Amino acid sequence: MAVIEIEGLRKEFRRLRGGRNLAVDGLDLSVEHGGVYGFLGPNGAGKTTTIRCILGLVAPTAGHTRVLGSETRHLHTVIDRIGSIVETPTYFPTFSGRRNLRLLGRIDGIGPGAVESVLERVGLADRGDDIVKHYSLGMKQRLGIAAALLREPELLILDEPANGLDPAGIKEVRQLLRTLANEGRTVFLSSHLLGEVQQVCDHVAILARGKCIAQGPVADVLARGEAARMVVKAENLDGALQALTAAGFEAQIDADHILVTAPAGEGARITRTLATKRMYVSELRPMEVSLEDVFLELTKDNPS
Amino acid sequence: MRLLGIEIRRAFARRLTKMVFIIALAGILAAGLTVFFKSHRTEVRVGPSATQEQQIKNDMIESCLKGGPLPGEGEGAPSAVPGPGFSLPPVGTAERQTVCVKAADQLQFGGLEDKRFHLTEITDIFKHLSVWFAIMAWLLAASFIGAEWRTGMMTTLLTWEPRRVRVMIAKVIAAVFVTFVIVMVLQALLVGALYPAAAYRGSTAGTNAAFWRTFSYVGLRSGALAALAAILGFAAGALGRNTAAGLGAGFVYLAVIEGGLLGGLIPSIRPWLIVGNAIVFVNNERNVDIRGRSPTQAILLLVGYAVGLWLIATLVTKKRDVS
Repeated sequence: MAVIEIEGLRKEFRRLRGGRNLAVDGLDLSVEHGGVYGFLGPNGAGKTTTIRCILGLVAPTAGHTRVLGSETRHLHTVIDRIGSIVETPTYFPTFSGRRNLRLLGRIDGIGPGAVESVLERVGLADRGDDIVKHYSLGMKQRLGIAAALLREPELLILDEPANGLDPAGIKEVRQLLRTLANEGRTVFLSSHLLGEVQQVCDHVAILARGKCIAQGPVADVLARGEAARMVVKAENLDGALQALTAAGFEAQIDADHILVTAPAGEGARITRTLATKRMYVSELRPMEVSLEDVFLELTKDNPS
Repeated sequence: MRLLGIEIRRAFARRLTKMVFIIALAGILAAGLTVFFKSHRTEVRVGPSATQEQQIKNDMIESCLKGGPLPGEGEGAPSAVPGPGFSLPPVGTAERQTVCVKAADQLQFGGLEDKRFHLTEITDIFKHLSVWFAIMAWLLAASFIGAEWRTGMMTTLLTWEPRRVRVMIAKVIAAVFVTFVIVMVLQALLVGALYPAAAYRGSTAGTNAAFWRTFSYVGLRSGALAALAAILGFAAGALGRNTAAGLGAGFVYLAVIEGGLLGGLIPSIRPWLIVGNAIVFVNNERNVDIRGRSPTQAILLLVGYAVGLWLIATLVTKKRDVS
């Protein structure tokens, strides 16, 4: 069952000096129940606008969104099953974090016990009585996550939740997101921390210029970026390069190795080519592709 | 109701609300002390000293003897002139001197002035203060919504309660409730601050049941005017999504457009302007400031403006993107 369905979503903003800015351009997306879904894209790709459309904060120019089976105009019927963070969430600066959460919780009749529980979960229990304006960006982000968890939501929509967090905090959030997913919740995660996304997400969608240019399980998306490159190490790099190019391979030296554009199955031909020239391979392996590589590859023609 | 309760708590807990209340409290305390020390226990005799009085009389006598007017003549003071047809004796005669001296002796300078604070004056004080309470209410309400938009709190709230009309209703009721309560409390405190001056150094004469009834109505009208100002300020702040915009719009409209352009250039529009109707309503008198306008008509018109502007602000909030 899809928890988020986006069909033909289009959003244009009027520019101050005339003209229109297309933020989202016919986006189609379906997020199935369970797991962590990464929503990636360069700055200005339309991630936050899409999230705002999903949460009913921004009205689409065309298309529509459904969350937990409910159209945006009926979002209030399912809002108590959704927890969200949109960019850096803001709370009353002169209230403590605990008091802010208690106020929010009262809207849904959530008691102080749940507030204590989420503060504990995000590591803010000791600082819960501090005034929010004295919080660091990372603490504000944790408070936002705590607020998002307050309703024990089925669906979490998190826009850059790791913003401002230190490495330890990022790791904690990663673990928290995995735990939440393991509990059966769906986490829709917008982030630019691609390494984090790769570690935590089951599915990803990559957005560029308001369009989805890749989506699917992380392994499938990574496979697209495995542009069949092999890492070759040999003693005589220049000689090896010459031999390989003479044999018809597309190759180039990269630091202490040669990058050969060829699928993993071509390993035997590479070793044979070099061996016939009396050059012996000390290392031969397919190049590991990170989500970052794929992301950069896919978005290089679609800068925002 | 939960949302309303939360909004009321938030409104009371805001720093600006506390700050404005404390400033008003300080003002009330200062007013109470000032009136206490300026009010005199008894009536005060005012006028020249005895020496000055004698000097003035001597000058008048001298002038009279030289052919001048009889002392006190033509100055509204009691005159020694016996009656119609009387003519002053000729200059240099003993009769003239007698008449001039007698007239001067009958003159009275100065008198008793009541410098006491009368508690009955408080009704007029409240009428004048209603303007300030309205300005305070506008400020609090415009800031209540404007600051939430500016800081992004509204976005956070709308991710919890996406029904914007419901949010706007809860917020405006909270703004009206809080400003009304604050104004009523401040008025009560003002009475408390001024009462000792009247009771111990002034006068409480005339403070019968009828006075207190009239006075209570003035207080309630002042509170109601503040509540209406709160709705207008709230709507302006919501439209501008900013406190400064809400305050600026209020100032520009009331001071420049209504006070200057509309009121001055198009006199026929005066019955439809806010300030004039507010004056009619607070004074509870027909024909005050606007001819033919009754207090009921005035309040209905003001309520219409406030609700109308709030409806516009709510519709705009419902339709406009939250970015």
